[in-house]
Amino acid sequence: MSRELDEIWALYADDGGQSLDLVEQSLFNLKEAPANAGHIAALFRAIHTFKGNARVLGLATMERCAHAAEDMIGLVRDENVPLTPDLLALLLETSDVLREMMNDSLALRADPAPEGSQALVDRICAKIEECRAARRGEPAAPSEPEAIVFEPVKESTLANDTRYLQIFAEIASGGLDEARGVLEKAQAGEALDLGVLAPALEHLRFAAGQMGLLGWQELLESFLARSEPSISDLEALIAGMKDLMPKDAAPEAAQALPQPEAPAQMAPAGLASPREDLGGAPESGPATAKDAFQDLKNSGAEILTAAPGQSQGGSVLASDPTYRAIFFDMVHDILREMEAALAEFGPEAKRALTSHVDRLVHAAKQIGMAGWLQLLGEYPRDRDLSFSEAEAFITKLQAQAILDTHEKSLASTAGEEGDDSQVRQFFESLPPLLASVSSFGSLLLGGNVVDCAGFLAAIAEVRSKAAALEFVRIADIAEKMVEERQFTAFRRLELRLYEELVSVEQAMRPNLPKMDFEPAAVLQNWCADQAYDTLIELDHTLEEMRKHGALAGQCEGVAELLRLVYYACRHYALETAAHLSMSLIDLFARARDEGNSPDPMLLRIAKNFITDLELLFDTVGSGGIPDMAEIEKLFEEAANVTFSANATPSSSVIETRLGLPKSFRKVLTPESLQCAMAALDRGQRFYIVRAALNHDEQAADRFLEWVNSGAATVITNVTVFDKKTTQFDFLLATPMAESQLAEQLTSLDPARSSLKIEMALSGKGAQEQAAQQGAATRATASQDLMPRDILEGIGEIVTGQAMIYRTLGDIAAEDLMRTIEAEVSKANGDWGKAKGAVRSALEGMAGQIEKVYQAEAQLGHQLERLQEEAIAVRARPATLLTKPLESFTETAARQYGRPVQLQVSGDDIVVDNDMLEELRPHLRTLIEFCLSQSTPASLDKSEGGKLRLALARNEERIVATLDDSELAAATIQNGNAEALLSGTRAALRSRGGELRTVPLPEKGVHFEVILPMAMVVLDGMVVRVGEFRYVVPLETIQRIVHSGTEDVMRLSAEGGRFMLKLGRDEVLPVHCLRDVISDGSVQTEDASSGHKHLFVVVGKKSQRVALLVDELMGQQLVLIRPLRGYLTGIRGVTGCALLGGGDVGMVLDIGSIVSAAA
Amino acid sequence: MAHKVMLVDDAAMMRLVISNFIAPLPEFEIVASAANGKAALEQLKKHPDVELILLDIEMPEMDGLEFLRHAKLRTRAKIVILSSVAVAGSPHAAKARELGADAIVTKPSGAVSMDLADSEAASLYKP
Repeated sequence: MSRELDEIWALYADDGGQSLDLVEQSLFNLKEAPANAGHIAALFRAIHTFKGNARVLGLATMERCAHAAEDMIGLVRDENVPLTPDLLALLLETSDVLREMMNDSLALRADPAPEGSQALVDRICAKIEECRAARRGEPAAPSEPEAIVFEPVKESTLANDTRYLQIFAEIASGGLDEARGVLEKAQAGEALDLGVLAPALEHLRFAAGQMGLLGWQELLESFLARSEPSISDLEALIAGMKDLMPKDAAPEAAQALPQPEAPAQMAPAGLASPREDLGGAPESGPATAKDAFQDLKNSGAEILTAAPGQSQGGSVLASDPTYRAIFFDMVHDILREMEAALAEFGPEAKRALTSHVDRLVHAAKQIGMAGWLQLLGEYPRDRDLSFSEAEAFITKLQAQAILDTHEKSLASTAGEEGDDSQVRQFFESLPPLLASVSSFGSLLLGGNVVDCAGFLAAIAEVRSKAAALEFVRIADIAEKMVEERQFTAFRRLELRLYEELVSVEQAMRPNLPKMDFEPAAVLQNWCADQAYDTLIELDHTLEEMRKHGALAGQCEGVAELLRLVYYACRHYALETAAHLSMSLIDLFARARDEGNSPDPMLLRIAKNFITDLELLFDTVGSGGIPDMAEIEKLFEEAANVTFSANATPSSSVIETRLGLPKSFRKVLTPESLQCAMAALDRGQRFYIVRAALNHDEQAADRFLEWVNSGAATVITNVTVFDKKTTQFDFLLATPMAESQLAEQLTSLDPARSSLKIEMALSGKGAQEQAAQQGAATRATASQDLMPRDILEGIGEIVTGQAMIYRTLGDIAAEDLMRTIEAEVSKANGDWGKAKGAVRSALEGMAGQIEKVYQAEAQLGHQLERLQEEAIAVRARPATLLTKPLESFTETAARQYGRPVQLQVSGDDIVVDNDMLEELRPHLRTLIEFCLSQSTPASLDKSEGGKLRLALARNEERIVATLDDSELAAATIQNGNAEALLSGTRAALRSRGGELRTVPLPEKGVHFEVILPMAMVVLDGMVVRVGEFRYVVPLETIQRIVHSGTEDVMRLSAEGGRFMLKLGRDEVLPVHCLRDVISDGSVQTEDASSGHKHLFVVVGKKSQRVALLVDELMGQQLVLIRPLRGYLTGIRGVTGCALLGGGDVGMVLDIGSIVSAAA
Repeated sequence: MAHKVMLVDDAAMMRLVISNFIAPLPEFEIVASAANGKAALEQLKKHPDVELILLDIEMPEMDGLEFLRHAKLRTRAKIVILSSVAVAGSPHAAKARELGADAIVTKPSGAVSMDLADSEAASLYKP
């Protein structure tokens, strides 16, 4: 344990140091380019990694400090807060403090005292609050006097005050004129001089901030953040300013002033532009609302061609009961027409349906029914509509229409017409209240709650408003929050509060106009912010469960964390991943409800899911296209996990075998499958019996009794909606022939109105095939288990080890000296007589030692075999990497408009799964780079060129080459390419690998991704040089040479390099392995000191090198492990390996040593 | 005091089976039942003190998931999905969890053969 701890602390020191280096580097970069998103993201990740490491070691003080810094960077990254010099200074100071704390913690192996950093954390928290307050247009906290430059005035007062607006418009107009003047000069050929303009814009930015005009503020900040703005930047600024000023603006006219903008919320990224929602009733239109909608209903094609968003009056009309009534009249009419079209489903009906949907869309737009627009947006326009899809869609609309128009509104409080507007008012009142709640939560984290009056007032208001609307769950949660003072529990309640608000938002959505405050967006942003922490915690919990089984409450905890993951997935628009989160929540919740530990397969799926998610979040966060293939695979596995866990075939096996209709797809449970399998084993027949039993109690009773008598087994049933009646299709298994069954059903239902055979399913050969497929499925499921060979190997090793232990015990118990003395004494001191007996005793001892030796040799052999088998289990075909890449390329190619497919070769190699996973992101980056950087002009109009991926591996490395025939060579020579590929380059370098980019002779670019092999077994020769051990791959060794000084020559050129003379004609360069460690300081005296030297000649044919070594230690199979930490800087080695005796040896990269010597 | 239960299932037979199962349990009392989500919302207004709702998914007029979406806003009742289509990890089950179902039980082997002794319904409600 102590050794493990040492390793953990060493890793912490190594990784922590690297993270802080990255923090400093990023801050340095940001000094030059404060708005560079890449640098900000790098900074965030570095501090986040540092925080995670501190958490792993339980260093709470350090974690808190890093967390505060992360929050501050989060402001810049996610909330558009500019990275001002004072923020930079604070972060630099934090970096210094963290490094100091890390050193202290390494010395003490304990968390540093909180006093050393508390003041800094307080300052960071205060700064965060100040920034947020500034974003909201609120006054800064009084504890930060330097922030209060001017007397702050409430945003709402200023932004709505025409006098202030007029002043602002004058300043803005002046700024615009200045900008235009500078642009004109620049366009005339003069240098772009911002000398006068910059202060004017800074002044305007400040004014916008004071006024709470966020659009202006963001526009100006974005421009001012550029270190060297270009002419096009200035043009964009002017266009933006003009856009924000009304077209007919005259500064002196109050009505032409900039529109007031909504205050910022907790998650600005999720908010729609406030201007989208501005406006009131239509400026002109029909005389009455009735007229307006009558026009709408009658206008047909004319309406359909009306421009989207023509009406700006949505927010008002949507809550007007008259307009709503007319809208829903129209909805009902159209739904009737859609039902009629459905009854005659065909090409004509499909066109009619689309037309009806278009009419509804237009009407919803006119009245501003955002929810209905969203609902109607789900209509599948991009493909051929099936009957069931059309039916499902119409049903959905009908359900919504029923809800919206049902007498006394089922979905509203008491059915008052004003209910929707009350809900809207409730939502509009929430942002400041929830901001107060959130701030209070932050104070709980710091433990410095001094005044909670503001929070109490806010939460009381939430509670009372929710209670008034009978949102009882929201009111209950708010009540609990009043009492809660424990941070984690408080945050959990806050999450639940948002979830309930989302429920309201979703349920009331069709009735509500679009609002600035969208709880779902806020919640999703919040969870996305916490996503990496959530994933780390989830991973840790799952690992605990895997090792020790689920403890009480752990399934619940996993389900809660997965909910956070779900919202984060929604934030990143990863819908499949979101669905998978929910499926996993269901599976863990069921394990909890049933009091079981989650199945190992479920734990594996969950772990793989979170591993994949981290990559996906990174990809989407950096603007890339996510590869969802793995998630889709996991989704399928999750849907089948209960079947696999019960060792039953998946439902599709039985569905196919029985020829079940579509309505029975995906409804078979493991229990019903087992039932079906048993019936198949008994050779029974399968039928679908349709039962209309809801209104025939007698037939129902008889049917129930008949089934319970064992005449048939109900496998499952599905509901069938037939107009207004509900019927059921029962899947039955019975030994009866169809005619017998029909007879039985007639006896149960003499009128033949309630029970009938709907379908007789094919049973021929089903038994054998289902059994075979079942076995195959079980075999697939068992792949997740440890292979039998490995298990048997472990058993043999354990037995061998026990035998050695026992024999050694016998040897230890044997007192050889006493035996000899006894024999000599028995022979009365006559050694000649005692000699035979003594020899026999000694031979017995030697025999036992020989036995141990043999057992140990056997053990070594078994361990080697086990190692090989374990490696084989981890090995995967490279197609697992290349197939998803092909799909990814296809998707990305569409996005970037380049018609090209990825051509793959060499994917028949098999390598360790980790290697494939390591390669995956780099290759995706390169492919995306190729596609994004190829300009249409560089491409043939009809052809997208060629994109070829080739994989190759040897003992030492795996090489993936990507050739793009169309990419211009210049593309990889500019700074942009370096910025885009720097992450890949750095990541590969940190693993001892490399990214090479080579322009092809005429056109195109060749990329090479080189990674040293890891987690492979290598047959190597262990050699010693001084105190160090090295492993030379056996296949690279040409010969071993023991030569005297006379064979070693020193060249007068090339820095006095030594050469080894082999035979008459051949001379090889000598490579001193000490160089590897001593970083270039060649110690050559050994090579010429006069005595014999040992050389290992390695390489191929003409390219060979003589390695000078001290001793050959012997041949050994070794497992190559990747280098980590500072070891990654060592050149000439591919990895390290654990050697016999516990030493660690460096595995030599003969290829690079030979190349360097050549 | 027995916990008040509402059954929502379009199959009269299923309602009967569940009622027969719950009737002998003193800690539960069925106070309402409905054959679809729309009727259930009406019932909920009449019986706001319902503490447990056993809810089928596939129903005409308004299905169980739509009912769940709306009922959840204004009732404290625990809502348990009892449906043959809510197979563990399935899209239906996932949707129900998303909408806030408190528990999900997959109807075993169809309504008719539901063996009450083996049913998990007894453990659904833990006050």
